[in-house]
Amino acid sequence: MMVPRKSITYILSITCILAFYLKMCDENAENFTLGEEFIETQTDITLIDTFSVSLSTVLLDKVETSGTENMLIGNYEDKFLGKISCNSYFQIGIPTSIDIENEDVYDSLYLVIYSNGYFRGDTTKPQGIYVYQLTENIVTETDEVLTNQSTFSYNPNPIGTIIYNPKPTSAEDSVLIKINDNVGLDLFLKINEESDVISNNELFIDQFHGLVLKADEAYTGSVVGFNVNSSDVKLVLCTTRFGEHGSEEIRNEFTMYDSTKQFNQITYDLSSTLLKPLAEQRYELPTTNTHGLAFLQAGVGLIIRVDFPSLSNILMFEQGTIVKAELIVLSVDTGNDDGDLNSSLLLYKSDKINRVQSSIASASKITTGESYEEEITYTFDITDYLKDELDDLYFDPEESGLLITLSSTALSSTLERLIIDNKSPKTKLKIYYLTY
Amino acid sequence: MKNKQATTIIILFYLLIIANGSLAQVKNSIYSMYGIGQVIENNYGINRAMGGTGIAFQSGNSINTINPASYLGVSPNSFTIEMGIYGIYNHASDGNITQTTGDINISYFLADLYINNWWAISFGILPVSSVDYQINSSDQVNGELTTYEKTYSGNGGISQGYIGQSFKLTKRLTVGFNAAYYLGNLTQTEIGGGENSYTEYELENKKTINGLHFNYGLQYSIEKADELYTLGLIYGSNKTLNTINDLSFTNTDTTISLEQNNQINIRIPRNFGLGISMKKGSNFRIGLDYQWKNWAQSNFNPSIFETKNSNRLSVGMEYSPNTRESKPFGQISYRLGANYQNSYLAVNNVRINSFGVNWGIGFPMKRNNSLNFTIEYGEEGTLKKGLIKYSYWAFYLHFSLHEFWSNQKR
Repeated sequence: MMVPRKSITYILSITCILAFYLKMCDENAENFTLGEEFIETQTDITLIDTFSVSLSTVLLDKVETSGTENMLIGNYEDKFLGKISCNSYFQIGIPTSIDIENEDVYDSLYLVIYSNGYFRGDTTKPQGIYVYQLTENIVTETDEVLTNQSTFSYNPNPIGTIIYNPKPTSAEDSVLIKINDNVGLDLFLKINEESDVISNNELFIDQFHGLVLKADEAYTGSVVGFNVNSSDVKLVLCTTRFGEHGSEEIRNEFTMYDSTKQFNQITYDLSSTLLKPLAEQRYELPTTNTHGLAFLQAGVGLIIRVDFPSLSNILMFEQGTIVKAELIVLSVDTGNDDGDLNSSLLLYKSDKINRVQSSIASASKITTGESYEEEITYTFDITDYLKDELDDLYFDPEESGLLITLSSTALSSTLERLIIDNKSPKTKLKIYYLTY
Repeated sequence: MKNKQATTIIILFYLLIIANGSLAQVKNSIYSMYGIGQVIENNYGINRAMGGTGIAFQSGNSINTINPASYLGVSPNSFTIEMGIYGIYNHASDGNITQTTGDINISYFLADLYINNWWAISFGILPVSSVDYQINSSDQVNGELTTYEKTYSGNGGISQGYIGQSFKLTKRLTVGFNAAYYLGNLTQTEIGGGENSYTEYELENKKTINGLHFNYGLQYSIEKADELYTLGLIYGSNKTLNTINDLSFTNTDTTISLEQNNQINIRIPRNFGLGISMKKGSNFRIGLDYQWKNWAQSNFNPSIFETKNSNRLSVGMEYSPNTRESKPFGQISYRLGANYQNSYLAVNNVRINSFGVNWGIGFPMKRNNSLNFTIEYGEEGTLKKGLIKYSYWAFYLHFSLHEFWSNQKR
């Protein structure tokens, strides 16, 4: 009396096929847009760019400049920051083996350095370099570093000098500086006498101390970068050896010793500039006192502090949150006279006395507009930072300052500069605020 | 259960319920965005094959939950259980864009216990309403010419666990009631932002609903030769369900609860239904139902949609060529039905109406068990006034299984 099982199986099979088909024709819901017009949205995002941005310039008490790859020598006149001079200190060591015989005759002593293509200022002008011998050893400070402010005494009578024309276009170019013969002869004699001084580097440095290469203040043009490594910074002692087949020139190279002791001393004089009041790192100079301009200058150690003095007002908004926050700064167009900033900017949290704390964001240059009126801006994404700061429903503008700076490499081994226009409406804080 | 086949099916069925965890019946319909979601009307059993008609039908091989006065119609001294699976292919269009979706799911579970010739009990789990939609949109930032992505979605639904009883008062009059416990979650979310734009956020509105609801029914039958005429009435009272509205906002892994300004209590409207049927012998029956629901009293706030009282008309019939014949296909039941509904939603005075036509087929199995298969084609909505029209093909598969608890096998 029953229906054969075949029919049941048939029905169940159809069901399975249908189920499979239904799953297959289930479109990806991510593409569904039907019904948009029937939706009543409960969330809105509004751009708020009326919270003020206060910039100020901070002069770092010191910038570490030892152990960099770039020996900076020269000076130049910055339109805004006055004259900036760079002197380079380093130690000289002894060769691993010395090839001098008793009958050899002293010829000359040269300092050889190689420029690396980096420059800042006007390289069409000739540059002068003085070589001085240090009268004390280069010793690091307590934190094992040397800074732009470090200084060591030297014999004021230069032992060598040169006037040369920088060639910034060729990446590597040697500069040879003749060293006084009395220094050369002294060195030659010590070798000949097999003095203890020549027996190891420590004794040699205790005696010889090192060198400082200073810009000739009579020439103001450019700062040029030179390679920092033992084969590219050396004193070459030239001697002549007379043999059966005539004379032979012998060279012994006294190379730079311990590149961590090489550092760039950077001197500047802000007294006739807008930044005259700057003295200590803890006291920033607001742009209200500097014609609305904030300065960042590598080497010298000028960085920029950012404050949002009115931002605590955002806490009065109810039922909302920040979904995006951007700090945008506009670079002042200073013409093409000097160093465009090529490095990325870094943004750090600051403490009350302008010390760099944790990293927040970085920004690269964005160029907009035509070439003759282009604008350069930098945009930092500070969404997470602001959300964190406002999370406890409390915002202390003094405790929430930020610092715009460069990477430590750029800060210590370049002279890149950036001036930010705090008056321009393009320097602003953009907050995308979600209300619900 | 002595019946191996039945046991296997029941186990499979429970596994499916556990795996799915819901009785979702709606697939991607923006009309499910409002109120309690899309109301599921008479989606069960062989009633579905007859257009959802059943106010004046007795339960039989399959349980008729539409009228609680009908439970005495099952085989005497039997325990009947019934389960359904449901599948849908849904096509949506606003005249320009089309979207298709498909789904398969558990539909319901019912049981009916015949106690004696004047008393029967039924219980089960049935879907009441479902919410399922997703709308991908975009919005503009105020104060800047920038747009960002927004996704609106809804899911969840209300189910009822009920227990009902039918009592035979006189030879002609049967009455009954269902006590149903309604339980469910309706979740609507708005998600914005995301990668490369704004920090992603989510605004979630979750309604947790529960409440007890009663509905009542009666059936009055007159026998005339081999014809049985039945009049059925059903009534359900207006009931506000306990509703907890939770509004929460999530952004960068932090979720905060918000004050919900418009506390909306979900309401089951007063409803009334009238049906007539005629049964000839044991192999033919036909019925006609009308149902009215007082939705106009409910406000789906905030919404551009208005609520209207809904009207539903359905007709259905069932025919078995010869129940006593030994030829296999003579045992099969053929069913046909149609329904038309003036829905509870309207926008700019355009009603979101719907209709469906059904074809069903029932195979008897051993021990009076049966396997029923129904196909439905339906349409909902309109292309007028920028509205959305859905057309769907649905299928229902359900099993009725019987266990006789005394020796008096029929």
